[in-house]
Amino acid sequence: MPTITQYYDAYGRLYEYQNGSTYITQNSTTTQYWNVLDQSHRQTGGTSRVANSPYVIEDWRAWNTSTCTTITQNTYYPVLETWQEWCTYGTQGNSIVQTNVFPAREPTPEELAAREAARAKAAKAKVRARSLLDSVLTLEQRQFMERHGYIPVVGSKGRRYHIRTTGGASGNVALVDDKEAVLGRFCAHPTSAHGSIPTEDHFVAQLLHLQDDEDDFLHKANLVEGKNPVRRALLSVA
Amino acid sequence: MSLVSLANEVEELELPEGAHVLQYMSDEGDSRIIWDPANHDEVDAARRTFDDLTKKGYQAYEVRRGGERGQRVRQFDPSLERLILAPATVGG
Repeated sequence: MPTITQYYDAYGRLYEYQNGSTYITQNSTTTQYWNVLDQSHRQTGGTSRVANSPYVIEDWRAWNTSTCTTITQNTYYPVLETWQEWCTYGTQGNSIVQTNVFPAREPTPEELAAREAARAKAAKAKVRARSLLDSVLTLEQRQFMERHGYIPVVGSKGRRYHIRTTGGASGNVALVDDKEAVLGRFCAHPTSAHGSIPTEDHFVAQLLHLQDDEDDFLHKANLVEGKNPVRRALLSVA
Repeated sequence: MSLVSLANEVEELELPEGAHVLQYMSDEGDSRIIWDPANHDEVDAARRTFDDLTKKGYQAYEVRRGGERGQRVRQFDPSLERLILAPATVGG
């Protein structure tokens, strides 16, 4: 069983980590974990508890780039993708907290095999998920996705959205007006309570939900950019 | 190899004429249940999967060919050609 450690920093923020295998970034409401052994990423706090798919480094990157304020590095474990991600993409001015630094060591054969198996499974799942996504898009939507990095969607009430397909599925649904100006960005995903799903499957679920009942989607989503009155106004006219 | 396991081996979904499919999301990509509406055993198997997943909160959508807008489905209907089931949406 892994050892879970908790501590409070000087600002009273609670940190929790698994010794030797997890990197954490945190803002005031949510904590993001990155497990360097199985490449999984999960989130606690905020309004949801999400165990994202084990290959959504794009989500991790998007979150670190846009909202994170602190990173905790638990270890000098040789798998350094996360640390490199942070150094490359981390928001300027973010603080770095380094705790519990273990001596570097080589991963065991079992750890390497587990990582390889997780990556192979993830790669296969991603191919299937991309195929599923392609199968539900119109030709025009596919072209937009490939050329511009988003899927244009008309919701059930006729509002227009862009589902961004680059940079992960975090806060990737934008409500736009007739001139393509962004009115607000929303964050909602399929829950991972029953297992993690590839990022492309998130896009499929967002697309189907918006097309079927955009008000319900907006009710469930967190507004990550824009003003709450925008959402309230939208829902009140529904 | 069964029809279902064969269908799960391929990435592109090419259904035999007359076959209907339920695709549900998982950590392996989508898993597929295929049925012939005239085959009661296959319909029952698909209905069980549908009921099991929707009880867990999965949302089922009818999806039509060519990207035509689908809609939420709350009860299994074997006459529908294609269903996609996604885990319930939560705020992120």
